[in-house]
Amino acid sequence: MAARINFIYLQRKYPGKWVALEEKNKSVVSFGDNAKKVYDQAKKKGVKIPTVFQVPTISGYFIG
Amino acid sequence: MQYKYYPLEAKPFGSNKKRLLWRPIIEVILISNNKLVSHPILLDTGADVSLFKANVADLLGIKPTSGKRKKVRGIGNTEISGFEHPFNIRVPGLKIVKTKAVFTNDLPKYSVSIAGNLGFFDKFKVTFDSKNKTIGVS
Repeated sequence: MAARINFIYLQRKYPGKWVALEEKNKSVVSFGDNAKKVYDQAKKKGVKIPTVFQVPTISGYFIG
Repeated sequence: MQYKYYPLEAKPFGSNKKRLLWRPIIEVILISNNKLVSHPILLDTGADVSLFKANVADLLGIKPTSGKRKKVRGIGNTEISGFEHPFNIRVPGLKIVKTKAVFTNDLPKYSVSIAGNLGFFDKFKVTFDSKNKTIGVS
């Protein structure tokens, strides 16, 4: 199992923001409010398949 | 493929104290229109369908509002509406499979995209080991 970026770190630093991670999912390469721009920036930085998502804000317990 | 649950912070309603929660989230690769994006999804065996954030459709070259309109309800009877689109999905190390999901703007900011029974659990064998915080997908 490969180590991945810490979601808690992301929740504290980028709550509600879209982020792109490099291919090993260990570091943020771009972030912002617009998913497409964040994805495009990561691609421009040479990330072939960026991991892109909106960082979940801190919530209460929830049932899906 | 083996994954570790992701630790997240939560603040139980009515409390000011943050608690650590472990959620079964894995990264998968979504493929459509020759575009590939890796995206973390919450594995939710209680969800009938897969619900993805609408912005993700844009990344795949899909116009989110062009698909079949779908409405679903959550446990609190909240209606979620979106548009269903087919695309391909690959769990790293496994073959590409065809799937579909509802893309919606109604998922809250505290949630990631959700993989449900239709579109994910009917495609892969998934095992949860909540005690050891590991997930197996094959």
